Amino acid sequence: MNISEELKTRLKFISNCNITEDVYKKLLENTFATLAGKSETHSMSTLYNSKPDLLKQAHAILLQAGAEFARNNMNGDEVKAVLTEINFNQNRTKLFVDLYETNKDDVQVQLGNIGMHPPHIVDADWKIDYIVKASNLDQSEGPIFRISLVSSKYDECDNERKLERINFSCNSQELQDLVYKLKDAVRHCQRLTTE
Amino acid sequence: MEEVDNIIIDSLRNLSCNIDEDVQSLKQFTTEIVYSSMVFCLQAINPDIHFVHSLPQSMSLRLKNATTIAEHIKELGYRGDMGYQTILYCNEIEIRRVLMFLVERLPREVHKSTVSTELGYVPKLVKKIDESVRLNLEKPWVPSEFLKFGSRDCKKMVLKQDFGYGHNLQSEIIQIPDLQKQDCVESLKQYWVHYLPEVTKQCLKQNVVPSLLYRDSEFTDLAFSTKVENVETNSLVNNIEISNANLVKHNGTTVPELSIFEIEINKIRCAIEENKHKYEELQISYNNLDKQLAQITDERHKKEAALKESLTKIKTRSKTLAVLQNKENLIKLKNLVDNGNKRLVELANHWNDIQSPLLQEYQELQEQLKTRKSKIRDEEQKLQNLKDKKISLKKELSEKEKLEQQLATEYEKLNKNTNRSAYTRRILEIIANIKKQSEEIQKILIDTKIVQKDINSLNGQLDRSFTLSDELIFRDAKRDAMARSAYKLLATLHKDCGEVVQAVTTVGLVERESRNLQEQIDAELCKEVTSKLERLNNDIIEMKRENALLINKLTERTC
Repeated sequence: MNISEELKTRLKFISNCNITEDVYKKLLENTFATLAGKSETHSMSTLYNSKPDLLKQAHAILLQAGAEFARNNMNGDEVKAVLTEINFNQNRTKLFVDLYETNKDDVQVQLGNIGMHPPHIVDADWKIDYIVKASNLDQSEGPIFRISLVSSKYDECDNERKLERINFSCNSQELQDLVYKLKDAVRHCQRLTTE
Repeated sequence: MEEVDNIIIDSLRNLSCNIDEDVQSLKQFTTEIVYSSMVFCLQAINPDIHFVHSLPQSMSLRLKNATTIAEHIKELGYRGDMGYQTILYCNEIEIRRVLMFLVERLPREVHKSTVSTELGYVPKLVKKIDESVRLNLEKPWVPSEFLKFGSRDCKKMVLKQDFGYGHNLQSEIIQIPDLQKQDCVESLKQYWVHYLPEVTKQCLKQNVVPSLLYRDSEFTDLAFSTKVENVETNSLVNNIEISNANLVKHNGTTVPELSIFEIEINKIRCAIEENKHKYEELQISYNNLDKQLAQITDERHKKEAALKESLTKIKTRSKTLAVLQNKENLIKLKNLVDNGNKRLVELANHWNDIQSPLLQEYQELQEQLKTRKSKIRDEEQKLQNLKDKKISLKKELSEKEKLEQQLATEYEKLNKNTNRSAYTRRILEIIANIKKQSEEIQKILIDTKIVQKDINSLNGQLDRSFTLSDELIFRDAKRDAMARSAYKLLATLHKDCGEVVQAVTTVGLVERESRNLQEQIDAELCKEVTSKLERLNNDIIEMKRENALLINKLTERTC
């Protein structure tokens, strides 16, 4: 378990600070909703009471802890061990572990979405053209394959998933080559699994 | 043969051939069972082979299937005689031989050793990659609109199938209130309380987690904070400035025929420069004078204070002198001083009396405190050690539990093959039997050897006694007619006896031969040729009928 000392001291602060159990619970729910990519269930300003700075800090620390635990793929028991080591009381530990276990997969999905990925092909359109004759061409060499790969890609400007078309045309030989390459890749994957 | 049959039937049952419980030996095998068991064995050896598990009804199909199976078995390397007749018109011995061969070729179940289950990080990762690739290949395609943020829940693991939601890793500077910090200004606290937005609102929604986890936009490292003193560049810049100035000067001298104004301007410039210098000098002198002034005023203040002090001193001195001029007063004062001194000594003594025990006590208490502190430290150390131990034990425990589960599942798998011990027991029994038999054979061999020896010695004795009697009678025969006839009789007797012995040995040979023949006859009888021939006849008739039917159909079609 490679949880940094810094995070541990920060968590210790939460275990010592005096916020009520109810506020703690709501704060946790908010935290995991944010981590799992959902909208927050409670309005933060209602939780503030007299100590907004404390709450702000606690919220940040809980967010960090939840993300860190999910990043290390720790199971509930391991999380529990870490929290008890930092002197969280039983009730708070249990609340944290329960919420963590129910939300772990979602959090990991969200974490998995961080990072650069090449566009992902989801569909393909095609058509076969045949140029019988053209102004600059007397004889054609055969059909031309117009292929449009539909790929899904994250759009940095609009902050959402968008479909992007990759268009190209090729002759039958090139297409054959492409198909062989793809088949080769599939075979390689299959060999990986059987060995 | 019973053991062999048991082994064959056991392994066939393991292959989930449905052999009835009451079948105990290969004698009870019907054509149906033989066929299906061979098919099961072949499929276990080579999963690419596909056959129907039961014999087809039609005679010609039966023949065809049986021939292909026979070919497959031959391909596997079976040396003996193998054809459709072995399967369809089976006899026990041949079937036993073929099935033994097939059972030997059955693939063994691969048992993973427990050592290989404790994997390191890299093999685990590779295994996980394999698993996810396998899942990706196995699972049917699903439109990415149905996926949850591009991921798919497959019970065991979450498969990432669409990376369209993957935004770049980008972190922003995030401010978090830090109440643990000791020295923070009140105004900063006020800022935290009233104006600082929450972490989630300080940056884009998708950047919250990266900013919290990495914070690479903050240079906390010391390497970044120390300023690099770039002396070299400074000097370089200075050099450049100087050379520039030179260049300007150069220009001025090389072009003397510039207008007079230029010269005028230069003159004025020089004057300005001079004035500037003068001004600066004046400024410096003014500053110096200012400083001097300040020093002088300082000195003055000091001297004034000293004057005041000395004045007060003089006052008190004059007063005391006035008092001391009276003698009584002097004596009184002396007494007072003496008394005061005595009292001081007394008090000091008293203080010592009180102080020493208290000091001792204080020291003792301090020592106690020290020992207690060291004890506490020890205890803390112990506690820490225990905690570490507990964590390691817990880890070990969970690992052991995992291992136990794995072993339990493996054990369950193993349990199916309980016949292993039975096999070994049987093998041991067989070995013991063979040992006994060989011992008996040895005994019999020794017996026969002894008998042979006896026979040989008797033969020798006989020969010797015959030659002796022959000589004796021959000597007498020259003189006596009776003896001559006796000699003749002896010769015929010897010849007859030889014939008798010859006859006995030939009888023995014939008997052995006849026994061999009898065995052969028995073996032939075992093959049940007549019944098989009958079956063969029936099958031929059946086939003929089928052929006739087919011909009929054909003719009908053509008509």
